[in-house]
Amino acid sequence: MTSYIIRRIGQIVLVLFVVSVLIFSLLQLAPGDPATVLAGPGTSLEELEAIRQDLGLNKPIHMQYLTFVKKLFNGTLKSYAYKQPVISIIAERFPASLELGLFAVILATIVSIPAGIISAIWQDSPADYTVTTVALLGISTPVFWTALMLMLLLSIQLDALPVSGRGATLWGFSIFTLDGLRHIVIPMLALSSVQMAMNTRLTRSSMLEVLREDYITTARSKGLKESVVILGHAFRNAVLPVMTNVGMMVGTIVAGAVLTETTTAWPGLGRLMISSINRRDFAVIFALTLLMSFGYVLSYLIVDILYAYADPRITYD
Amino acid sequence: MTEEAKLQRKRKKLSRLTFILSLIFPGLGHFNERKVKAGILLSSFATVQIVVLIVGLFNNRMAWFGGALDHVIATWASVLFILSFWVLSYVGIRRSFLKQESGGYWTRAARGFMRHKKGLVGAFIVVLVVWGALFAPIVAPYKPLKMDLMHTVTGPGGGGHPLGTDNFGRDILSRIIYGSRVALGVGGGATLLNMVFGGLLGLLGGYYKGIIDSSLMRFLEVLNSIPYIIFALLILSVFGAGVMQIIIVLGIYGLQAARIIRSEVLSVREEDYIMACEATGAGDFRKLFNHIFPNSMASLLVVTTMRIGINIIVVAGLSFLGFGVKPPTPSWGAMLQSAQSYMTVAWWMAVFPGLAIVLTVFGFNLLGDSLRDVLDPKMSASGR
Repeated sequence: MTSYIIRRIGQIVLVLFVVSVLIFSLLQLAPGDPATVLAGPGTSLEELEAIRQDLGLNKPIHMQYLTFVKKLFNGTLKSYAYKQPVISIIAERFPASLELGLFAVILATIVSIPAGIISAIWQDSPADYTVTTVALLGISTPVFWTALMLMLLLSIQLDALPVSGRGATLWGFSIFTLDGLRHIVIPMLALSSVQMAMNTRLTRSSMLEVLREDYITTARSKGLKESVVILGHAFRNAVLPVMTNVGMMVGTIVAGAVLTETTTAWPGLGRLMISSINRRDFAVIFALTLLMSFGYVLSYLIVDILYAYADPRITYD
Repeated sequence: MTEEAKLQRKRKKLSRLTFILSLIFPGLGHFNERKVKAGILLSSFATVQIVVLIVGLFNNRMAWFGGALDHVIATWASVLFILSFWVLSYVGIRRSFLKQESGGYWTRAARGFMRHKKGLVGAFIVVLVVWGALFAPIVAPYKPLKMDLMHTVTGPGGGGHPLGTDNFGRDILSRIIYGSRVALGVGGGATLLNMVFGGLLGLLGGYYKGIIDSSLMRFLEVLNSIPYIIFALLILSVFGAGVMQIIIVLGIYGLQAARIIRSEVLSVREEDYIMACEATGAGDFRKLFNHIFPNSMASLLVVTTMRIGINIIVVAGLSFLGFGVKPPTPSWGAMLQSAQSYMTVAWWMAVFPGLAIVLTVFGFNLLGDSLRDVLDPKMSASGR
């Protein structure tokens, strides 16, 4: 197991390296000179040259890449637009994305697993039809439109919730204040609707597969209570794919919810990404993309490791 | 003359009448055979299409030659459709006389699909949307860019605009209908790239294993570690936004399809019939394209249908963020983007384009789900 984890970590480092090279070369191809963007209009040539020197823009490309990465890791890589270290900008926005993503995943998991189980055990019943249709509608609906509709309904028509923004925060999180809680409802519902739909479909199909197995019939014929059969025997075996999906949803938290955050003006990492792309803030784009990739690959690894613990049949050598 | 021979003659006579009827107008032959449902469907579709063609030609929204390209395309497409209804009705009748009960895998699948209510609903939605996109010039009440300055930001029904107008006084319904072209064109084009290249890579990777396979998997791993929308945004911001760029970007990202095809090929190639085929001296090419590919077709088809839905949503998302198709070209995502600034005064600007996306994607997803039920007996047994 240990050797497997070490090998996987090696792979992760390799993947992140390729991603960083990819993103860096992509940014090199982008039109516009970062120094002029950073300096703003009306800067003298000497000042521009000084900035280039500082960023290492007048060195060969591979040296530039190395300085970029080095500066990123010792925390001195500065955003072109904010003139602050990238690390602190990301750290400032991260709590917003974290709480939004985490609560969306939790809500999605709480709703989707019972819904999926119910629709699997009463297959082809009206309840099943309702659940599958709603879930299919859920995966067919763009998340930003869901957000728009919630804003239209809850904020504009009913005037029950604030339209957008994050509201008051305490210790960097808005869930600790009433105002913040009122603000998080819409983005959280929108973001979790898609995850909910996907996870419901997955739970249902995975349950259906297990319910057909012989050991379920055996369990029933032993006279076990139906609830024990469903939860103890069937669900425990059906939970693996569902767990994978939840793990991946957690991994996407770091990526921020680009569309949801943009629509509801939620000041998280996704929105930072969009504004950085619009401003050609290469340093922030570079750091953010790496962070997001890291979140993805790390969640894959954790899911794989959890797999081995949850299912004794799975061994990694 | 025996009883049986008499019956046979009677049947022959009847069948001649049926054939003649089905050649006169699509669906008439089916009525003669008491297949009322199919008859109504065929004849009404043919009638609608003929009416569309005639009306379109008369009010200059369609043209045989010359004129706007989409008018010419609409004309010839409707001619093609009408002819194909004739062929369909004739072939359908012939089939029913030949009385094939079992048929091959695809025939049986098609028959299963015709009994699958969900799938038919999905197919109907998809056909409707594609039809609307193709015949947009005649179906849409206004031109998509025409500004009715007397009725800017007018609610549904006002000023002769069934779904209202936007801030420039442009008809929402017409823009939605024309917007389906962008959604289907870009979403469909990207999906086509996904499937052709993803399918090919998956086939090769799954079949040859070794270095091809492992480099493919590493490549997909790298792709997979960058969020879809971020990947698209980065490339679009570097190379500029536009229809071709979006198709290519989504085409590359969707190579993920290779993964599914690969795993399918990995299991198919271990089947006994592939070994049998090898024993007869078949080469790689023959094994791959005559035997393994057709046996992986079903999952490719399912993946494609589901993928179109995803791609349509992503295209809309990119346009919504301002990285998609440039205005004033009507696209659903861009319509929603401009609707955002008018949320408090014009709900219709935000509601209807979104409904169009949901309906279209829902149609494709229904179709995909049902295809999976019908095409894959293993999966449908588990009710997926």
